[in-house]
Amino acid sequence: MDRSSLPAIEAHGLVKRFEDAVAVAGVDLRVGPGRVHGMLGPNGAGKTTLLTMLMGLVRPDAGSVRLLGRTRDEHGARMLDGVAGFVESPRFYPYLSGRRNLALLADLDGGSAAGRIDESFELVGLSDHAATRVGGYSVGMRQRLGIAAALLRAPRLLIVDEPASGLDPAGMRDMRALISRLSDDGVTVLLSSHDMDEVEDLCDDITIMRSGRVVFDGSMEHLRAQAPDPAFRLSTNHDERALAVARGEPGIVVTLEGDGLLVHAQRERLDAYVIALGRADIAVRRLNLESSALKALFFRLTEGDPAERAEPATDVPEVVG
Amino acid sequence: MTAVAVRPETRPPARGGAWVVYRWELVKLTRQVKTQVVVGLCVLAPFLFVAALDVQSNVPQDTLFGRWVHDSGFAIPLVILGFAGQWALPAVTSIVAGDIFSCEDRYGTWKTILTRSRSRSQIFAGKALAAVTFSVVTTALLALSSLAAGVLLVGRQPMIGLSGTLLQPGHCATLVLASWAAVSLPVLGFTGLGLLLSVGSRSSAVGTGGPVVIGLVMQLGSLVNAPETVRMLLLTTPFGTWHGLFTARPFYGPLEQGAVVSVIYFLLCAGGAYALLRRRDITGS
Repeated sequence: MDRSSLPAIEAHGLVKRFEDAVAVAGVDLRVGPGRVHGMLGPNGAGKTTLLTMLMGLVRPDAGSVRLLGRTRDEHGARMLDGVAGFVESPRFYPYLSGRRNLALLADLDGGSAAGRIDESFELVGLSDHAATRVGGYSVGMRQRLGIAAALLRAPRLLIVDEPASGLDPAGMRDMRALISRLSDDGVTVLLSSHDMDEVEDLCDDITIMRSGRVVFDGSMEHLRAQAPDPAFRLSTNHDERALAVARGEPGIVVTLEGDGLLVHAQRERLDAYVIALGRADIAVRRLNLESSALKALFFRLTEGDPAERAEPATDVPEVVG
Repeated sequence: MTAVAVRPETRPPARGGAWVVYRWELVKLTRQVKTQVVVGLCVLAPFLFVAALDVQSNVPQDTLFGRWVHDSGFAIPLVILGFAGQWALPAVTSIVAGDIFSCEDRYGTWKTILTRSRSRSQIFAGKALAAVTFSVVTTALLALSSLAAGVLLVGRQPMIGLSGTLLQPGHCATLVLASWAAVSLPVLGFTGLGLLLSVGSRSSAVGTGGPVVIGLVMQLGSLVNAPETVRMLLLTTPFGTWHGLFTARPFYGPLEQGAVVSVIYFLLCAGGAYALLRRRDITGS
C-alpha cells in the first residue's frame, strides 16, 4: 500500500483516565498527509495526554492509534518510524554537549540519522553552540535542539507541543518559517499550541479540545465561518452618548464595561459606527482589538456550555475532572 | 534558522536492538563524573588502605586474615573483600544500577529516548546490561587493584589458610581471584535490587541508597538468632561464602547456595523492574 496516501494520524475513541479523572474522553483525530493540523485548548483540556498517547508514551485505556498506517500492536517501536517530535519541553542530558546528545539519539535511531547532525544544527541555527553542554543552554536553545533532534529522523510526521515556547520573537518567526517549509516539503505537522495567532498562521486544520473532549474539528475556513464578531475596546470623550449612538447602528452590539465600551461588530459595521460617532461630535480616544473572531470562538467553545459544540463528536464517557 | 529542506526518508529497520542501547548507555556512563570518581576510587583505595596500614602498628585482627596484613600481600585483597562485602560493594553497584533508570526521570529524558526507534524492551535490556557491566568491572577493578596493592606494597609471601596450612603464593593468588569472583554474584543481586528501586521509585536517592540500607538490614538480620533458612535467603550471606575456599578441604556448598540465591534475587528484581517499565505511563516533564 502506498503509505504516502494514508492519513498521517488516525486515532479512534481514545480514552485515558488517571485514577478517577478522565484526561481524554473518547477522542477521534484524523490528520491528512501533508497537512498542518493545529491543536488548541486551555490548560487541562487533554492535549498533552492525547499527544503522549499518539507517541506511545502513555497507554490508552481504550481506543486505537495509527501513525503513517502503523499501529503499536503490529509494528512495536517501528510504529514511530518516520515520526518525530516532542511533547512538552524537549529534554536532554545536561552534562553532554548538544552535539553529543544528538549523536546519541542518532545512534538510537540508526540508519542515516548520524549524517544529518550538522544539517539539523544548521537548520535550527545552533551550529555555534553544538559543542556547548546542554546544561548551559537557554530555554529557547533547548527548544531549538528539540526541533533539531526531531529533524534527525527526517520525519514524514512531526508532532510538536508548543514549539515556539521560550523563543524570542525572531526565533518564533524562524520556527514558524521552518514548520511552513517542512509542510511545503510534504511533512505532516501536528502542532499543539496556546497561541491562536500561531495556529491561525500555520495550520490548515484545527482541533479544539476542552475537558478531554473535542469541541471543534475541521478546517480553518470552517472555523472562521463559524466565528462570532470580533470584540473591540472603545474609549470616547462621552461613553454614554456613544452607547446611545450605537442603538441606531445595525449589526453592532455595544456594552459599557469598566472605563470604556466593548463593541462586538464586523469591521465594516465598526467603521460605520466610528463615523457616526464623529458626526455626533463624539471623539474616539482609543480603539483596540480586544479579541479576534477566532479567539472569540475559541473562548466560546472552551469556556461556554460543554454541550455546545461546533462539530458533532463521538459519544464519550463522562468527564470527572 | 536557515532554509534547508529535509527530505523525508524511508527508514530501514533499526539494527542492533539492545546492543545499540547498551553502547549508548556506556558512552553516557563514561561521561559522568560520578562514574569516573567511583572507578578511580576502586583503583586507588586499596593502595591508600595499605599505606594507612603501614603507618600503624596494630592490625585489623577481628577481620578474617586481618592479622596477616603485614606478613603477606595476599591478605590485603581478602581483608578488603571482607570490608567491601559489608557495604562498599552494594554501594558501588547501586551508584549506577540505582540511578540508571531514575536519571531519565531526573533529567526528564524518558520522552526523548522513548520516541526514537527503540522499544522499551531494548531500552531496558541495554540499560540493565550496562549496569551489570559497571558492577562487574568495578568489582574486578577492586579485586585486581587490591591484589596489586598487596603484592606490590607488602609482598608475595605465602599465607596461612583457615586450616592452619601454608598456602603458596600461586595458590593464594588463585584463591583470592576466585573469592572475588564468588562475590560478583551477590553484587549482581544488589544490581538487580538497584534496578528495581530505580524503576519503581523513579528516585535516584532511593535507587542508590535503598540497596545499601537493605544490605545493612540484612546483615543485622543475620546477626540475630534467625533460622538457618532465613539466613540462607539473605542476599548478604553469599558475601561470606568464599571462606570455604581457604580450608584444607574446601567446601563449596555455601558457594553454590549463595550463587543460586544471588541469581534468584537478580532475576526477580530485574524481572520486576522490566514489568514496571513496560507498564509505565510516561507523563509529566
